[in-house]
Amino acid sequence: MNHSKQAIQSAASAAVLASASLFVGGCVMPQGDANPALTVAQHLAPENAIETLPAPVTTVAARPTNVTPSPTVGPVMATPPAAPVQTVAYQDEDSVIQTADFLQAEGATKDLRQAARDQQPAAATKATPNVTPNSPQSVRQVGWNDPIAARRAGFAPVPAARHDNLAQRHDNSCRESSASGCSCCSKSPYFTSGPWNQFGIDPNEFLCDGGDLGDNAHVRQDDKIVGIDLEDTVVRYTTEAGEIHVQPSNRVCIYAPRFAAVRRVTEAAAGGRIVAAQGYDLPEGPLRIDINQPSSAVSSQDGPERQVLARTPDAMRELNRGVPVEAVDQPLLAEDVLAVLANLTLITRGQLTEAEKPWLSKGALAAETWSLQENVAVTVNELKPFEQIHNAAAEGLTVYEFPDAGRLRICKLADKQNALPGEIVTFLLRVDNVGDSPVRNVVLTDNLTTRLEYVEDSQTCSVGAVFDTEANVGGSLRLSWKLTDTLKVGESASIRFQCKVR
Amino acid sequence: MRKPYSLLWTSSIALGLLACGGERVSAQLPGSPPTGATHQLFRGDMPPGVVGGARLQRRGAVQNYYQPVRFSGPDGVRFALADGGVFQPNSEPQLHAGLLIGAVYRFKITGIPNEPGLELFPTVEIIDRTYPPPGQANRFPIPINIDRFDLQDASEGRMVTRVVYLEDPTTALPLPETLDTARSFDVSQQQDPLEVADQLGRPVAIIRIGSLTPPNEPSLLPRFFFGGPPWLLMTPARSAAVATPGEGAVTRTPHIPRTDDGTLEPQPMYRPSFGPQAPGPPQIASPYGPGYSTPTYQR
Repeated sequence: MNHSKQAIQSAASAAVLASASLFVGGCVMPQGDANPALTVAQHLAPENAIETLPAPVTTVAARPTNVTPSPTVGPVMATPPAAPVQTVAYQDEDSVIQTADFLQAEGATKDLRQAARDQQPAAATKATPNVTPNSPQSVRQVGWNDPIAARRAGFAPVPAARHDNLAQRHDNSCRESSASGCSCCSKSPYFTSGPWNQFGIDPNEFLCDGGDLGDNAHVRQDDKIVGIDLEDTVVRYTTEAGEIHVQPSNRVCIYAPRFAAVRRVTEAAAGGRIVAAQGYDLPEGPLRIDINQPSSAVSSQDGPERQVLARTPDAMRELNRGVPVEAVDQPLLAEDVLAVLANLTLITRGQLTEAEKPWLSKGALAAETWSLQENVAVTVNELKPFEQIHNAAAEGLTVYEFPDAGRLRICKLADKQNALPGEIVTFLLRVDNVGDSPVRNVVLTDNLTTRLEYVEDSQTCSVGAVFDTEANVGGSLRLSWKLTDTLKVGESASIRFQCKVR
Repeated sequence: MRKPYSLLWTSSIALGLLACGGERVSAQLPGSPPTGATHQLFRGDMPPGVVGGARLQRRGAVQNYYQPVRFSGPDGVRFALADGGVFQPNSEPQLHAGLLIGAVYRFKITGIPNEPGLELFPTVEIIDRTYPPPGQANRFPIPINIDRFDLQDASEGRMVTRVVYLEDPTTALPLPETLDTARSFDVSQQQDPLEVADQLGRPVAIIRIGSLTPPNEPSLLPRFFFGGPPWLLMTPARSAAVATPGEGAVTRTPHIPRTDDGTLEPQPMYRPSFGPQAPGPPQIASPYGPGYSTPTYQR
């Protein structure tokens, strides 16, 4: 009996020790997706990096896309540019734009790790390394390049193990990219939205416009668009088959914090004493009034004679907490260069080329809707797949139906990434018909947020449209452009307007 | 012999540790703001340094960050910060400085209109930081705006507490503003300004303006200056909002081709020249097309 009791006792104490170690492990060492292969490679890579790879920038030209995109990534984001992209790095108020520099540095890092694993000295002319979808590189690209994944993540912190990986990978890329001049490193264990800020971001410091946050924009029976909240930008159109679609644009955020103050004055109550200045002297030196010496203030002790206090009703206090901004998109910003963006072929001709994808990835992403067909289909160059419908006739007749696809793509850009109160920001909206049939009754609606004030008569539209404004609940305006013509296949409309940041 | 720990006690410790370990990992996500009656741990009338010190110990690393701050006031008012117990002689009407988070700084206000010789010594306590994009921190300072009612109340012996907060853009007032017009509103004596500011946004600084003057006893000076924390003098950044009309963003980024900025001069009219003329400005072939003149910086 005693033996069994002893056995149970020792088993229980072993369980205590095991759970204690687990407790320690759970608290100190975060459980996560620590990749042992990555850890080993990171130990190897930094030492070999500087010596083996002389010029990481030059290797990008020969490397095709080597990251398998995960299904959550939109088509524009997953693939780095195949063609070498001209890097633009300029000093605008000490800000450095990191576009292709960072991507090139990433590619360089991948090459180095592969080199470290294979222990080959010259990694510059190596063939495409095999990067599995589970490797951290593809995860990392999804993590910061892809706004869709970031939108899901919102502002929630990522488990710490992934933070460590991110931090270490950023460290490596920083060591590499310092050779090529990029300063995009973020070493923070906190949530990082890419090279934006190494300490993270506060969504309340951003002014956003675009998208459809509430996801509730729809058209009513009387042809009115409802569900457009503040900051929403949608386009509604009618296809040839008579279907009415509502397509939100992407979201554009501008860094524009604004501050206010709460003030309270405290006085002496009856029976107290206050010290107030009664008069003051400026001390005189031998030649002049010495303004560097503190003036001597003669203070008097005063007390209130009687107390007159207005007792305000406490019960009227209203807890009006501001709406917590939780699910905020990662800010998708455009460059400070509206002309460059206007010259992108996406904006001028409606074509999306590989070389411009990093500009768009830094800027705005055209929100495209993907619909899952019941048949497995392959999409080539953004053409919708053909559906094959079998007609079970005796002769074996096969009928091919081309889907009626009149589809609009709407892209929104801003010419400034950050703005002080009082500055003017120009927004650019581009709507393309990327479908297969013309669309009619196209109405673009932009509901401006409270702090954006539309500048009178600053809008231009490249096609004929009826422009209308109406006041919205936020104290700003709701702009709408009703195109007078149908948008045929391949046609587009470009709209520009200016807003002043309040 | 009795065992020191009973079986039940040991197994309950094991279960408790297991549960605790599991909870700890899942408690990394932020919680929602509390609803209902709450007791605020920190109030606006706490001594300077308490709220800032609490901020240093929680909710993310803000140490060693010099938060840019911009002092501004009515016309003629000048601000000066102290360095080593001595106020800087060159006070400025708009003082740009970088102040540490959680530290309390004593500054001096002079040049108060209609009160020659009056000097006030308020304190500013930075309790949170902003997260500007890299390189833009100097352009987005926290505005410490003192208006003439504060100066008047302080000189009459009252104490003014101003809590500066970052506005929530979804509940912002639709009033146009600039950096100099940081709006403030009053709350009554029964209300706590820090709590009200927390409801409306994120409090970032607390300013306390009273009529305290520097002590004559030198041993009391460190306490008057709250330890004299370090600060950085910053120069105000150029911003498009204060740029002169002829100078636009194109002059700061000349290597980026622009065609629609509106600052291009019109093409000179063709004038046939007969006879000798003074040589005009050299016609430099511009990569950005004819008519584009090199930018001139005028300030």
